[in-house]
Amino acid sequence: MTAPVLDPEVVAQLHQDLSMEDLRQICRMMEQDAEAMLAALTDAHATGDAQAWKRAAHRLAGGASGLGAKPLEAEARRAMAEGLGNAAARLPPLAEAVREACEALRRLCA
Amino acid sequence: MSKPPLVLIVEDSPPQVALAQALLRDMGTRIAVAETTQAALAAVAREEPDAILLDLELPDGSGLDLMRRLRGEGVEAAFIVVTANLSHAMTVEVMRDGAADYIPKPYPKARLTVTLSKVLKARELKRELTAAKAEIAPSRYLGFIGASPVMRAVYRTIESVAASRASVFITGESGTGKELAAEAVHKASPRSAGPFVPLNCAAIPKDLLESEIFGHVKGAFTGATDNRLGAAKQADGGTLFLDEIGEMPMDMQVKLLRFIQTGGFTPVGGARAEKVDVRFVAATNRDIWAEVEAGHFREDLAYRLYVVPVEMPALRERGADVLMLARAFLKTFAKEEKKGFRGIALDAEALLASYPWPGNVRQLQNVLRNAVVLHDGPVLTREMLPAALFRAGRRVAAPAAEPAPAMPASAMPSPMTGEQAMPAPDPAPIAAPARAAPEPPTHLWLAPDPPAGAEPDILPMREIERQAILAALRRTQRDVVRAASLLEINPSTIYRRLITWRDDGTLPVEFQ
Repeated sequence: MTAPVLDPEVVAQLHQDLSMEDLRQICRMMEQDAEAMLAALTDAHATGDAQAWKRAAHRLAGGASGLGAKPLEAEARRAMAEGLGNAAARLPPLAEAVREACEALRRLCA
Repeated sequence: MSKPPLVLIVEDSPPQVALAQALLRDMGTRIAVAETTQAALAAVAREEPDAILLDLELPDGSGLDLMRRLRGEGVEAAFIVVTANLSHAMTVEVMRDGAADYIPKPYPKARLTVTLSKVLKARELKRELTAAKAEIAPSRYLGFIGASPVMRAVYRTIESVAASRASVFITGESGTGKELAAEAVHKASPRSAGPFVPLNCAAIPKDLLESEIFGHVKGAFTGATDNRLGAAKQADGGTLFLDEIGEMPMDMQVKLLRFIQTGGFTPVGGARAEKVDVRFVAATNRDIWAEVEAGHFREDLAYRLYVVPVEMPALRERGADVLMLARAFLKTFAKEEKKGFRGIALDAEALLASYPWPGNVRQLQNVLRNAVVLHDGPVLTREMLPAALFRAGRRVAAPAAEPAPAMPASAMPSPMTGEQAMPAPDPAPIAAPARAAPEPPTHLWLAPDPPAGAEPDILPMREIERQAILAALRRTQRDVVRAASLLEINPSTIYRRLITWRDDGTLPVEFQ
């Protein structure tokens, strides 16, 4: 069984702790940041910049963990652990996880 | 009204920053944000946060290293580590290294606000405790800084004796604050509205000492072109402080004894005795009874002066006072020199606390002044202190009865590099007793008077300045602050000149 794109317990907590306005703003920031970090990972792969790869993967994992986007967090941590050496294999599932997380965040705030 | 506490969020993920800000909004705290360790260092120096929410992995380094560094520099903010995937071993490590608590991601609002409230409250209680302790054990008394038991004993003695007219005899190593103690006796006494007149018996040529104490009338000797009041008359109704009394020549001791016995004296060249109401405070860094034994000091005068003894403790006996003094000096000098120092790093404090300070408070003062003049920053680090301090623990012996140099050569700031890297191959020599030294010149830099009718050589102003500064340093046994005081200039001027002369090779060997 696959994990939900957003952890329902975390989602419920966010609804309880935040106003809808704050939640929308944070979700929008997460979407923008996730897409920016995916672009940074692609650039790091293209230029062979291992440090930039690790930084972007870490930032993606940190943002995802705070909003309960567990599959995205897991993909980002795998990218951090495996480093630039396995970047080509990691980028497609990362891109898919980012797409799914962003969609879920948009639904959350609709 | 005090400002709300400041929370610094150190986090590189913008949505995580926004989440923390939103969750903290109701707490009424102020919030600052840093995305990197470098930005965090700058923010801590600039803002002095009360709490730091710290992500362990940052773009330019480890959050744990950042916390260790800030703790090492004496930053007292409460660190709360906020991270996903914190292992048990890592939890132990972050708590051991100074974190107040940790919060795993994702976290609910209650977890964040309760944790933060708890650490801020603990910090506030610690502050209150420190303030309460300071109130119970006063750390400042009439110009003194220090709350050690030995200093509190000094404060009690001064307080007890102040109301009396009894003579006070202050002993202690060079640089322990004997003049400050004399002033405190005066300030705490009913005579405080009257004058306090200090006279350094060692700094005045013996031929002039009588005139300095008792004054002279016009024509009493060559050069006495006017009547001049002496220290005794100036101190009428107040306190006369005779510093370095052990250096007073025997013939002068007889005259002083008579003055103390009768309250009267006759100015040099005068015919009529004058009466004054003076309280006597004397001081020496010698063992006055050994001087009596050796025939250098009159026993009857010693008994007249040694009514209430006050022993000033050496700095090495004053425990935590060293750091209290160092912080006070740092604050004062940073203000004077317009530098940004706000605190002392823990490792620098450890070094200051372990050094034996043979030159006592005056030496500590010089070391701090030197560090402030040559460096800048929010925190005084170990590297800014003279290299001699690093070696001193094992090599500098505490002085015994002999006077210590005000600032041993090994701890003199190095003008060579500005980094206090001056090697000190041997322990600082103990100064020879002043009795054996030639009388210091009346003026600091002028050569002996030229033959009658001859003009003195004209020297470039920079050479006159150089001679004046070096002479003042010799006179004060390299005590930069006292030398600056004699010259009525800022101590930093002396430090800068020393650096220049060292660099251009004109600094005499004795100062290297």
